[in-house]
Amino acid sequence: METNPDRPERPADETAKGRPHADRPFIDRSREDRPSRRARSDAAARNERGTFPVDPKLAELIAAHADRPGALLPLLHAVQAAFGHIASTAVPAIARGLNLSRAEVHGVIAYYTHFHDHPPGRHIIQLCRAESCKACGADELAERASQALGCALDSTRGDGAVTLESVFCLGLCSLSPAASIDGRLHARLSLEGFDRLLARLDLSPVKLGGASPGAGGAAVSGPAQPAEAGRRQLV
Amino acid sequence: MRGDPIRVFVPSDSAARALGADEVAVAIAAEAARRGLNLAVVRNSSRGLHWLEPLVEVDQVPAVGSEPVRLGFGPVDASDVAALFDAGFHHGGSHALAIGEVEAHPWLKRQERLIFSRLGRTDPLSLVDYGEQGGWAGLRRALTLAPAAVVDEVLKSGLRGRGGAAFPTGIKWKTVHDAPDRPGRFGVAKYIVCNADEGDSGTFSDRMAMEGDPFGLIEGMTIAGLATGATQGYVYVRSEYPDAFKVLAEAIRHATDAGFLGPDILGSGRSFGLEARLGAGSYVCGEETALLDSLEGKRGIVRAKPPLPALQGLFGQPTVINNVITFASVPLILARGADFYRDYGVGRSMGTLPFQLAGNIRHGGLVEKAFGLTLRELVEDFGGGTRSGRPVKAIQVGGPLGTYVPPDHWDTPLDYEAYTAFGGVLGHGGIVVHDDTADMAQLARYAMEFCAIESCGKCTPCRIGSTRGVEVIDRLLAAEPASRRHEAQVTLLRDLCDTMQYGSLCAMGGMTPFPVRSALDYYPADFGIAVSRDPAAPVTKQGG
Repeated sequence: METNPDRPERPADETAKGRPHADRPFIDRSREDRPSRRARSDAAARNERGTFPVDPKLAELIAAHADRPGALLPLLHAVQAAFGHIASTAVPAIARGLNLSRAEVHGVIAYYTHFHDHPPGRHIIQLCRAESCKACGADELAERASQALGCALDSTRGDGAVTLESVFCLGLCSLSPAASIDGRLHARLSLEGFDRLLARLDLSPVKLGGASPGAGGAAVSGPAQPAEAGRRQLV
Repeated sequence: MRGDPIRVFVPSDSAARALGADEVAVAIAAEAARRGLNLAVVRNSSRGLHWLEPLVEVDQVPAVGSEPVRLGFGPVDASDVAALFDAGFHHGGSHALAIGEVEAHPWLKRQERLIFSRLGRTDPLSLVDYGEQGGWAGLRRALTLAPAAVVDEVLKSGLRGRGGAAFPTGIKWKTVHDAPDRPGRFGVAKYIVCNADEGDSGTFSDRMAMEGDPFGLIEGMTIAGLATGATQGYVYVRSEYPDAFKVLAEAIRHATDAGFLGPDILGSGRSFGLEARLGAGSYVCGEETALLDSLEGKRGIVRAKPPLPALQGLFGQPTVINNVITFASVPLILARGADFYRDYGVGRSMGTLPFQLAGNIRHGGLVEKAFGLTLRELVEDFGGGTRSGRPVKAIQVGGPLGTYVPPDHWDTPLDYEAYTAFGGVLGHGGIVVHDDTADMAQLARYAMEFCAIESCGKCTPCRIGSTRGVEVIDRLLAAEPASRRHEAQVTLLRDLCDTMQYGSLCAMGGMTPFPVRSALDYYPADFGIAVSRDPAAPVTKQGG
């Protein structure tokens, strides 16, 4: 597994002590510097053993789902709803909570297109690309969206302002072509109508992790950690 | 003193909302308040006349003492609302958008609405509305019968799975009924699973059933539980349908609170619990065994059969897995009897199928009719031809894995056997119309591309074949028509289609050749193949 630069690490002098104290649920960020190679591998090992402190919100979600039959998908939905995405740093805790291997959890996140392992853009635009919408100009619409937004299909724009995704059927086939913008459905779209919808979006660059305006702000930063600008993590 | 408010209905279905029904509802309420009118806005389900959405309806009493009828206005935009009030639409005033009495509309009147009888009439989450419109009668009757008698009634009705495979529902239920009753890992012996992963392009009847009549599905699943001895059910709703999921989850709460679900159904002492679960954007999870894996919290990978899900399904327990429309057909069969249901349809295709008119069509929406009508009737009479006004070129029936049906088969009756006979599939009843600008070679390429994107990867013909299929079509289209290279690619493509059809584990890879081969057979010119044969001559038969 590649090293995740965002993975939170504890200072080297604390790594030998085993489980964190219950009264210190958070990582002490004030003491964090660039950890040494040694500390990094220790941290990785601790992560594997699952001794990292877990974000309380994440821990709460895991506890709420752990006893449900087939809990993984509902839990991943809940995590994504709370944090905007499912960071790789959340995987060990989820695996431990559900008694699965990290590979199983990672495999599920990677398999389903609905789950994001990186923060999506402030706005998420889903364009239907299936037959019914194709019969009504969906390909032209996709091209228009891609050009107007400066964002390739199925990617997030570099500045984090928008994610443009293909979707295969929104169930509005009698009113093709259809799209969803930030969860709101639009049907029988003309190129002009679509332009008008795009004009309403806030497409300014997103400051990573900052309290960015707009609905997607929470999707970019972790909950309530404004001081940690630039960091995106769950645990 | 003010009397009862005038009821104005604005659909809450996501198709209507995608065209601004929420704004219309807000505008009507605001305009009524501004004019000091005693008016209540009710969010009903959609009638399925989607080209008229948002379709606003008003209660109207034609004569003193008679039953109110609903007058319709559509399609209404929020900007039309003030003019509608000026015209007095709320007490029968005429307006350019008026369509008259909604239920007398020929598009609705010509239909046979059995499953969707309540559509548009009710507030989807109102238990009172559901009860008044014939709800729970099937469940009440099932509670008076022995489980085997309920299975027998479904068997006699001739109901076949509406998800696409058309397997007799009664046989499936009987297998689960006869399976041993041993509690599994979670203390449950048998499960009922509803496949609401309606991923086929051109289909939306599951979505409309869940958003518009969720109690119908709940009642059908509960009856399945009583019939087979299953005590827990799951509805697997695709993540692209968040509204349907919310409505269904809410309906399950209401039904449980009212005692239609839970440990003691209507005081009978019998139990059935139900939960809605959300998928996560995988088309292949619409395949029943992949869906079960997904429900178990795994990647949605197709399982080899046998064992059948009816014997080893969810968490290894005997499981009934049926489509939304299949379950939604059951309450009526129990309430009115198997014979009533059998009277609809032709041959071995009994009952009704909600056909969904989609793609480039003028009057798109939901047409519930008994089996046996023709594609031409649906597309020309109901659909009114293409929305673009150009001639129809191809009609894909049965979703992305369905055949492109050429004009010579538009008069074939829509029933399972007649379609199989010429290599078509009815599938879930989705009908996607393409006008003469459609490039069938590109659509064939897309069918392969879609399979490559959505393949679960378990079997090689589907995983590798789909990618090779895209490449072969690309090479075919790049080659000089009538050259040896071109001919070689056509042969290769047909060969690949055979490999995928007969070698794949499930319908995903097994049926992707259907649209590809039909495009090649019926529209060879789009592939640069000279049309020498008589277009009426028989073509390669598909399926088996």
